This record gives sequence, structure tokens and C-alpha cells, in this order.
Amino acid sequence: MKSIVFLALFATLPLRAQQNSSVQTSDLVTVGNEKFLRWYGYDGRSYFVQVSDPGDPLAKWKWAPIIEGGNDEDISFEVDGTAEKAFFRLKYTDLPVPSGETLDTADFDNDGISNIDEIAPPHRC
Amino acid sequence: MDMMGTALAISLFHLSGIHAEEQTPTTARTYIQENLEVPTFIPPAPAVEKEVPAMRIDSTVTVPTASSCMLTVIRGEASTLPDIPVPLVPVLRETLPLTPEDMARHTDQRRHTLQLGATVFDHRLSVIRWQHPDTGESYEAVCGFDVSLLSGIGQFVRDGEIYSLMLMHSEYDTGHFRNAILRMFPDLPEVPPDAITFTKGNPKDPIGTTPVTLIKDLIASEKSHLTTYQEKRRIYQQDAASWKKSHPVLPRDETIWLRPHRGSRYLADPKPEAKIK
Repeated sequence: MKSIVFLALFATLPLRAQQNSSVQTSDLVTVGNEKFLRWYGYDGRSYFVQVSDPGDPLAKWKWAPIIEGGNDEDISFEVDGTAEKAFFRLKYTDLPVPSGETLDTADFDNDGISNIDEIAPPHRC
Repeated sequence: MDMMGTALAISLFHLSGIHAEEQTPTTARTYIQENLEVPTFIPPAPAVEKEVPAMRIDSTVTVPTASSCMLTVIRGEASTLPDIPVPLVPVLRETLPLTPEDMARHTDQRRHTLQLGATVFDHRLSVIRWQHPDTGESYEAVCGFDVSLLSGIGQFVRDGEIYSLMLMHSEYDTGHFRNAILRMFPDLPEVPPDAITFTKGNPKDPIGTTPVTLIKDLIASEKSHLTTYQEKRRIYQQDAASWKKSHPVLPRDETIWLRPHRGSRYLADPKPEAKIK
């Protein structure tokens, strides 16, 4: 019996409002059987991770419940899954987090829904 | 319509100064040294389904997928894996002017590195395209042989020197595609078997024309081996495709988990190994 080899790809895209020109890099690092998503977190830049829909790979994307703020250092996540393969992409914006808000409570696309509720909607009772 | 859309790559690469073992058949100066055996297709063992490991789940999102299944993405507890090795920083070497020996070596390598594109008609006629190894001039020739016989061949030997091959080709059955082919190749000349008609590039330049003559010699000297090899490959590919068709991957619910490892705001200690150092 062979075990499933989890294949993954990782790409980077700016969010629509992105204007800063710092080149954003991201990579998928494999160490033995372990895989990591890694990117350089620029100070002032906010990051979102998307996972490709297994039913329509590379065409439809779903948000992972992750919002990161850059701090001028590498950010990495160990990643794995039940699927045979997966595709990830990193989205980012240089929009500042408004005073009194956090990465979670800010509303970067101004649609009245906070960032965290957009990517991880609260469960309805 | 029966279009064969196989693609493969051949690069012809001469390892300068490296010579093949002296096993050259006395009757052939151009030959394939590698084993042309093709294994019988063995269906892969069923994969073991991976399960979500035991971990604290800090956040989770479950959404329907395009295949009417569910995708769950988990942000789990912190990864306990060690630091990722720092990527090797490429060392910028001082750019030195090439010595005559360097230039000669590069020229030699280029001349023995072929990247061929080809369109094959009815396994009888091949339109082959390549570039002059020194000048980059485009070449094209219509050849009265089937270059697709070299599918899967990565290396061959010519006069004791090793070459490697990279070819991209497509195959057409003109019986099915006559009108389309005529539109694509309105001036496709008819050439006798094993003949070469140059349609682009200087046919009198021995360096520019060498790639196609090498390929021609190779096919001529190894035709029976190559024919058997391609037949075995075809059977293997057919068996593999047939197995794949009868064992489709059925959509199912999937779970992806991500565990903050370094530099994440979700970590109590974003740089645990820094303290150890």
C-alpha cells in the first residue's frame, strides 16, 4: 500500500488594492516528507492564504482561516492534507490597519464585513 | 477524428570529453546505448488515505467545493518542526572574460545540444524544426522518416561521443485531417523515404544541418529496435490509460491543515530556535 504523496504548489498575488511595489516572494519548502508554505513578511503588509478548490483546481479558491501581518521576517506554515495534491496562493495588501482595528476586525475591501468574517464566517446557530 | 497529440522532448547534448564505452557495434556509428526495455504496466497499489492528525484546532473553515463535496481548511496548533533550512544564497561569481578554451567548450556543447520541434504525418513524413547551434538561425526540413520513433529516447552515441536529446512533436493522421493539414502546411513537399528537403535555413551549412542528419542516421541504424520500443511504449500507455479510465478518482471531502511554524502572529514564540542559538 502506498501512502498518499501530498503535492503542493504555492503562488503569490496582490489583492486588488495593492499598490506598493515591494517584490513579494513565496515558496513551498519540502524538508523530508514535511511541506511548508513560506514567504517574506514585509512590515506593513498583510497576508491572506487561499487553497484551491479540489473540485476545480486553480480556478476556484477558498480562504484559509489565516491573516498575517508582516514583520520583516519569514513567515512559515507547515502544511498537509488528506488530498493527493493541493495548490495554495498568497494574497497580500499594503493597506494600513486603521487605528483602533486589528487585522481581524479591519475591513480591507470596505464591504462592511470584517476581514476575519470574510475568510472564516462565524457559524450560524 | 483521430489526432495523436503526443508530446515529448529530445535534447541532443554532447558531453564534451566524455566518451561512450567502446561497445559500438561495428556496423553502426550512431546508436542508442541505453536499454530500450519497457516494463509491463503494473497498476499502482491503492493509496492509503491520510487522516487529520490529532492536534488542537484553532480555527476552521468548511466550504462546499465545485464537485459538491466539502473542503475543510484548518489552522491548527503551532508546528513543532524545526526551522526550515535557510535557502542557499546563490554566490555571485565575478564575471570573467571567457578564455578561448571556455568558448571552444561552449561551442562544442551547443553543437551537441539539440532541441527539436516536429510535426509527424502518418508516421511517414516529419517536418522538423531546430536552430543553428552557433547563430540561432531557424532551420526546417521535411524528412521522409518518422522522427516520433525517438519518443522517449534521451541519449545516443555518435562516433563514441554521447549526445542527449530533447524533442517536442505532434502526430497527425492526414486521412482524418486532410483539409486542416493543407491549411496549416500548404506547401508541404512530398519527399522520398529517408530523404531530407530543407525548407528553411542554409542547407549547405554543415553545422546547421548536422542535427537532422544525426537524427536520420540514428533512426536508420536503430529502426528495428526503435519500432519495437515504440510498440511496447504504446501498449504500456494504452494499459495505463485503460486502468486510469476504469479507476477514476472520485471526488470526496478533503481537509487541508496549516500549522503556524515561524514568524506567525498565531505563535506565542515566533522564533523558538533563535533562543537556542
